[in-house]
Amino acid sequence: MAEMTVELVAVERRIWSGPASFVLARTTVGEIGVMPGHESTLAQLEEAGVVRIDGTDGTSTTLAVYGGFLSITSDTVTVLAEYAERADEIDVSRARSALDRADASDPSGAAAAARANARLRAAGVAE
Amino acid sequence: MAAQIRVLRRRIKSTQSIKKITRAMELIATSRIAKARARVNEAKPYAEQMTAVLTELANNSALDHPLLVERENATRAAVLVVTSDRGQCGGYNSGVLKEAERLQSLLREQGKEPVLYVIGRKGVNYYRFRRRKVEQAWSGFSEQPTYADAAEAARTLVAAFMAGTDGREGDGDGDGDGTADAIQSVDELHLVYTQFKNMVTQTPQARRMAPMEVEYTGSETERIAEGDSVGSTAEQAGAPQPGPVGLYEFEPSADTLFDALLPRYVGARLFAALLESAASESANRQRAMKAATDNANELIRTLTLQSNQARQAQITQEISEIVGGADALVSAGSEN
Repeated sequence: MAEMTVELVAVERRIWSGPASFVLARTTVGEIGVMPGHESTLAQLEEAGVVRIDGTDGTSTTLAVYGGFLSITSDTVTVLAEYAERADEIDVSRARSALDRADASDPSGAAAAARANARLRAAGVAE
Repeated sequence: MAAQIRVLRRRIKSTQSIKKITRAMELIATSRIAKARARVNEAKPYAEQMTAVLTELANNSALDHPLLVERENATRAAVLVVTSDRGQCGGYNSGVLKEAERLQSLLREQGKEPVLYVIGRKGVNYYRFRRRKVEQAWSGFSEQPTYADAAEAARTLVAAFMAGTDGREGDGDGDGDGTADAIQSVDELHLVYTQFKNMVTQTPQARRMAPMEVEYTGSETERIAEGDSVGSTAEQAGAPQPGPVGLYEFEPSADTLFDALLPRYVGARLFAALLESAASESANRQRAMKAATDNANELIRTLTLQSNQARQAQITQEISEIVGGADALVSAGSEN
């Protein structure tokens, strides 16, 4: 099976790196699925979104990514993120309460709500 | 005599407890340096990838972003000074503050008014004591900065910087001051922090953050090889496309991406500076505390010597007093 090198780096540390066969992300324009041999692309991901990486070893990792950028060449994919969390690191109850607390009327509250939502979606428990 | 011994013993005791404290601080600082250096390394991949992406974009966009363009007749310059929250770290803070003063006088010579932004309680106190105006200050994270801290400071600075462009465009060739924004606008961003070279050398440094010079990577050959296999051309029109580079698709347009990336680049660079400062602070503290522990040891040695001498002198005196008393009694008895 064809593979590509995928790296997901947050500002504070490298979160994921290794060979993968598929990457799913959502840019500001729309959803994008990347397989090996993809056209070279630079894209901005939505402010708070979910990225799925399918490794060549059959594992699938889902991550919540904030303020991300996506850089694709034919055999590499790099996700640059301000913050990122793996699904298994996400504290669901905290994300829920953050979502309840967030006041969607002002911009910072809306951003917080979007983040909480992304975390819940990454953890696979969003409604 | 007895009083002297008591004083000496008291001093030995207090020096010993000071030594315990400085020794503990030294050990903590030592472990913090290792952690801080590890974090500097962990933050590197992001900076590298970011630079690579920006290089790619720079080939495809107009490069007229306000963060990149030098402003004519700049009047105000922001200076962000990174200091520590706690003392006991040798010349760390005074080094940074001295460098900051140097930069400020240089800016004044160039006819720019420095506007102070401060990170760290020590710097805040320094300027408050001198009754100098500090535009904004952040503290409480100097030893273990997180990206959120850096991002907040970067946001404030970039906002102040961008406010400068809006004001200028707003009222044409009139002075930018006319707009009287809620945010005090600035035309340049400077950063004063401590560079961590190695365990023994940390130097305070002044850097200009904006208008910035992005450090582009220059690995052209790699990209050409990639480009062949992809075989498509970027759709960007208008922007100059030097040579075979620029075979990227952009979502959204290259200019929009550039606008979104640059403030984050500022944030990432500021974060890197904070991490280096934290490592430097710990290294300085470790050195200062090691010196303090050594001095305490030396002091304890001298004081112990003195107290032993005093004790011996006291014993000698007591013996001679007893002998003298006994002699006096004997001679008094023989007279009877």
